[in-house]
Amino acid sequence: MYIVVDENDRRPIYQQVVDEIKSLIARGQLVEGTALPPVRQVAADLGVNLNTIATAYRELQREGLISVRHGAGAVVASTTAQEKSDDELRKPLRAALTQFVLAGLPRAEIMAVVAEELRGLLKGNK
Amino acid sequence: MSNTFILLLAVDLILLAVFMFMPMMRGEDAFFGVRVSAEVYRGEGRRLLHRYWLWLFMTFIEIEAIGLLVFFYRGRTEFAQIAPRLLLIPCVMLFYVIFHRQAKRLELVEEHQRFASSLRTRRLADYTNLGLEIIVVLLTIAPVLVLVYYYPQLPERIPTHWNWKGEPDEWARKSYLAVFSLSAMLVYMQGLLLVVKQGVLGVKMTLPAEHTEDYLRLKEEALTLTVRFMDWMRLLLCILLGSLAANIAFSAIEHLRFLSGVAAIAEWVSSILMFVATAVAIYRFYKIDRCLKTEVGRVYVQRQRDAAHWYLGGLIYFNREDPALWVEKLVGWGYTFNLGNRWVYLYLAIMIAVPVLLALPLTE
Repeated sequence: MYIVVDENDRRPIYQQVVDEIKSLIARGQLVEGTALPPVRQVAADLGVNLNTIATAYRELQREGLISVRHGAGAVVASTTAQEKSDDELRKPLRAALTQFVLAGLPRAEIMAVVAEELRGLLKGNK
Repeated sequence: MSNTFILLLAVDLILLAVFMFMPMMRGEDAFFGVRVSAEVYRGEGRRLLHRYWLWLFMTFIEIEAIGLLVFFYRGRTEFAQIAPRLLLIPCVMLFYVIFHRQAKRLELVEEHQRFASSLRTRRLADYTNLGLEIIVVLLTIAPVLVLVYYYPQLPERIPTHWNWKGEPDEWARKSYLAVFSLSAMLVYMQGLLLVVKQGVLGVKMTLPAEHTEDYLRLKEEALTLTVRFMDWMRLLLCILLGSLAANIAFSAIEHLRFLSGVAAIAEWVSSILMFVATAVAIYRFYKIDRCLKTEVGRVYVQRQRDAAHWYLGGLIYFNREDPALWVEKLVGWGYTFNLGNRWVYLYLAIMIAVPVLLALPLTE
């Protein structure tokens, strides 16, 4: 199991790490209790500063997805993120859908893309 | 021609072979430590390599000739034996660096790459064989116990070195240091190798975003092979140094002398097995590289900005920005230090200081 980081991506590296780990949790590939590698290992592998990965882990901890204990490392604590309001959840979806509409994709095609992504996410959870 | 001369010539030939094949061990991914395209590697690169070989070979013949001349005119002195070897290493190294500079012009620069990181933690416990560890600990402690038990019976003059037949040929005055330095060296080396093993498991692994699964699997296979090779070496080292240390008591005390022969056999067997283990490991590393080439298409993957931090044609890695302590060698198999990491110097200081302090009492 691995995460991918793209230097040309507009998102900062720590955000990409957060998103990648979240996506693995959502897909059911990272189950509760799985230990994440130490900050040093991920930072060395990705060739980034230790703080970048530490920030990513803190962010995941803040959302309640992992728990970081001193000495024991980071462990996946829960497979459901802390509750967010409906509006908060919808905002990134709206932004992503706007991109599709602006790209000129017809409604049916957008629906197909959404369905496909959702299928990919929920497949591992069954 | 003496035996020593043939042995030293063999060492030179091995050195020559290593430098001959070093530029092409990792194919086009590290041709003289530089990534080049497949076309350049087969065309211009091949011609560059042949020129390099020609220079190496000429240097080799020249230096061996100098060695022979000194040998004939000055006799079989230590100088005649050592000088050519001391000359050969800097010369082949110099040619390697000169040709690396020429290869640098052919470098293939990849601007946009995506990289991955494994989420599997490599823990020392997962790579530890408990049975083997128990044997290693027992074999490390055994010679110390033997020497402690027989210390009062040891004569004033104790052997510290043996010839290939197992007969003592160097002696030292009895002292705690002279008696225990070999077994102390063994204990120290076991500790050091364990630290190195733990460090190597945390090696930086740059993974490509494509074929990640295959690449990761083969690289972890190489890591497992390295660790297993180290385990074998630790075991054989126990037998080799342990029997050498115990031999101090065996060959100095009359009623234990029959064990001296056993110790000599153990030394020979463990030395030969070390060579065999090395040969097997080299062959398996070669096979993993071949698999990487066919399954992934790349033997070595790294960021362009990391690639700029290899020096001496890919032999030394110095990158302050990189948090990694151990990195995979660019040229050749195995792992090397990131000399830009400050912790390395603590490692190196301990590595050098302890053996020097332990060996001092032997050179009386």
